[in-house]
Amino acid sequence: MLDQLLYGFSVAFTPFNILIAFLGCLIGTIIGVLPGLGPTGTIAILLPLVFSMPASSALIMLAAVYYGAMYGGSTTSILVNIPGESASVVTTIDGHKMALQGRAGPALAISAIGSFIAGTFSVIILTFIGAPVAKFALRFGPAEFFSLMVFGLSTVASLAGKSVVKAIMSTVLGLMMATVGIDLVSGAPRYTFGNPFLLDGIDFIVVAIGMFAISEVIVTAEELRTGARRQIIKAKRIWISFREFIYSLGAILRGTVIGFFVGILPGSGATLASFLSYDIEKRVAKHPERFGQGEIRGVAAPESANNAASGGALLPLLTLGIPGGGATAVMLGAFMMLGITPGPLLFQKHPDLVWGLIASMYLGNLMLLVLNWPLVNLFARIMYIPARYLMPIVLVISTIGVWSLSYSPMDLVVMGVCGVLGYYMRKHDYPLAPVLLGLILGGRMEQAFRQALIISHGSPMIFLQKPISAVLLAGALIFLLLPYLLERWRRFRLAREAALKEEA
Amino acid sequence: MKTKLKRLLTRTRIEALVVLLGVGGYIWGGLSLPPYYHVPGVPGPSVFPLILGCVMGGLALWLLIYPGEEKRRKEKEEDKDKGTSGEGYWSWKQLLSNWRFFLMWGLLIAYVFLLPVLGFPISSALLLAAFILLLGERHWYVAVAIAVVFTLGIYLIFTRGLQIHLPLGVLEGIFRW
Repeated sequence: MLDQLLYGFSVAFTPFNILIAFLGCLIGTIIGVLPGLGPTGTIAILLPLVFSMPASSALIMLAAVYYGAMYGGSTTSILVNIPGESASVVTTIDGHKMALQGRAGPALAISAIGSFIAGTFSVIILTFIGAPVAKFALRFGPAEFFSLMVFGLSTVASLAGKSVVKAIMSTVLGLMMATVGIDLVSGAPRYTFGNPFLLDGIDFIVVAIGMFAISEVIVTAEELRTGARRQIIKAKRIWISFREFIYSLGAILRGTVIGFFVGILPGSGATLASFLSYDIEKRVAKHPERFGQGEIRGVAAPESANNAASGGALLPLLTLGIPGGGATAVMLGAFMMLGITPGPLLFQKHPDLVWGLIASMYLGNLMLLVLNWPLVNLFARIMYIPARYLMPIVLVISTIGVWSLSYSPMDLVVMGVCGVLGYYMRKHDYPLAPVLLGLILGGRMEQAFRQALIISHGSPMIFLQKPISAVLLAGALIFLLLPYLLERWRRFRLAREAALKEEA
Repeated sequence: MKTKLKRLLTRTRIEALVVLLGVGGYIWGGLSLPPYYHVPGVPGPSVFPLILGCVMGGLALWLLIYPGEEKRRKEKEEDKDKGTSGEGYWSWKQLLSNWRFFLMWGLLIAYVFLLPVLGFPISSALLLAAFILLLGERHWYVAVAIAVVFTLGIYLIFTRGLQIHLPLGVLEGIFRW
């Protein structure tokens, strides 16, 4: 297997391909940085460029553009608190705090380094234990999927501010938004109010821009007025220190493992992985209270996880022909362009392509790290543009991003509504990230739920009878209740100690 | 009596009531789907909304019963001592004095609705200039210059470079580029 991987690398690493990867990554990052234009949009824009290239180069270009755009999405999360794509929603929490503290450089750097390490490890995992793991993933039916989604949603407890109930409410709001549009099972239009623009449902970008970008502008305005927004400290160091790197290494590795295995499951792997890894990082941390205040691990873990997830997502693509996420869907498109249908026989029939693909994704990853050196410098400086100029411009560009999705005035209106809602929620302790998580997972979750019920002839016991599903559901319950119980236990212990002291 | 009601109707409780109202509408909307979408024996399109509605309703009820305001009020007082309270907006006098805040929201909403009609260049230039001024720029000419330059720049980059069609609106008849 290793010699085949090396063969793939020898195909991928030609001077022309390296140049192509560099360009793709650069263009991807630059476009991806525009809020609202995520990887999918970027790739759609650049697709015509790729048609004229030889197959392997086209693949490499696409992979590079994808990684670049993902990184661009994380960049907006960190710099202006607007998630560019769904997998970097969690990055806003600690990434933007770091940027406000003048640590935009380290945040961007750890994101690229984490991505690279995660990419490297996911290629290694893919090469050696790919096949058996893919078999395990096959055992995931609708019931297991549903439970996995519930498990993923339970991570919102650690995103909560003062009230877990409010965090769960945010999540359910997102799930509710996901029910807008045509129901995929029965074809019924739901909550469209007779508006044809709503038949397609509400796009993630519309909600993300509405809730994050608009509220960010207004909050910035308030902070400027009241003087609460402090001058951003000029960074002493633009790159991260060795110490910070060592400190986040554990988070990167945990994020990689979580990302890879969650990424295997077709669906919203990268997003789910990023939330899960943040959650777990916060739980294993010695100082969980630092999360949300600009903790570098809170950036390292989800950024590594979402990158490892695109590695993991290759497995179902190559073995089953199911694209697991945005990147692999594009790769699937590239395969189709070459007249090859991915599936179980691909490994035997076209090993060169399989390993070439893996190698090209790796090359894209590598380029990201190389590019990062000059770009971090540039991007970190964006933070020093006075907010009174930066925020309105970001707002206008974000609006274009929403407009470009489907040229629909309705999207703009939904964006406005989400803006008002997002502002209120933000002011009153309802976290915004869970809304997006719910919105992203909602559609698939409902489908899995109903498919499972169809299989079981309407008995909800199916979720408990399947072992994997039962374990996941139990895990979700524990995740939700554990912080509460631990707090109780801590208080109880403190009270007892106090009582003992008094007695003494 | 009145003061008692006022004390009971804390902000969180009002939020919970609003959410309950919304949930009611949501469930009603889910249940009023035409019956021909339902296949007997198969969970139909209203099952999931119904579950979500119930969960949300339950959470709102929880907030209604345990709003946790006591704790919050104490924290608020502490916040006030520190001078970082963000809650000051909700008295009427302060609302009026915060005209900028409302003007910004008004502009935003107008922008969202007028963008397709007025066209991207005009509406964006106006929004940019207004926001830059509202955000504290002292010189109006700086605001206007930035607004015009960036609007044109963004317009050219997106339409020419990225092939994204932006509405010209009322300019449509005048320029054709």
